Amino acid sequence: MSEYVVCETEFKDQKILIEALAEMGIKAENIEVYDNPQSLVGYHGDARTQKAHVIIRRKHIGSASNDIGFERTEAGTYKAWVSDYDKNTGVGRKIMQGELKHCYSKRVVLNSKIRGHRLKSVVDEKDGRCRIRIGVN
Amino acid sequence: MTITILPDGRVLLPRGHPLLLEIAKALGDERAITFCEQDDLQEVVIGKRMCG
Repeated sequence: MSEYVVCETEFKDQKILIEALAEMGIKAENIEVYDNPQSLVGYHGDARTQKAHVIIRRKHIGSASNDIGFERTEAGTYKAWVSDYDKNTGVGRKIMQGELKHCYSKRVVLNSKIRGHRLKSVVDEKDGRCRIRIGVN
Repeated sequence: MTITILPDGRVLLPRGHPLLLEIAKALGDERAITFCEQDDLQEVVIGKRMCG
């Protein structure tokens, strides 16, 4: 059984978190959202003790994967539950290595453009940077 | 004006950018705004890892 490891994050906006997951290639319809946290399910179909408010079920991740979840803490941020197996592969690796944080930051910036700024371009560079050009009205 | 998102999620903005505090708060990093030592960049970094 692959144990879960926790990844503390600073994600505190559920809507942007889901947008960031979608940008990583996870279809919106494959992301489950709950007001009350639900148990994560492991590789063998066993309910784990870890619970989450935002869940990507293992069937959408990989044949040997466990559910990946994001649990909302009392502080209002989300902590990621990624299994020891999944942290080294696919979506789990992207979460643990910072790609989700990159996508989250990008969405935060893009969602802030409404304050009188005009979006000129969004360019994802080969070096992993994203350059967002805005015009000031 | 260009805003850069680094691969690790840190955000670079020009100094004095009007969106600085808004973005920092949205990222939950308002206490992690660090001023880059590289004056030629004239940018502010939002994120926990120090720049330079």
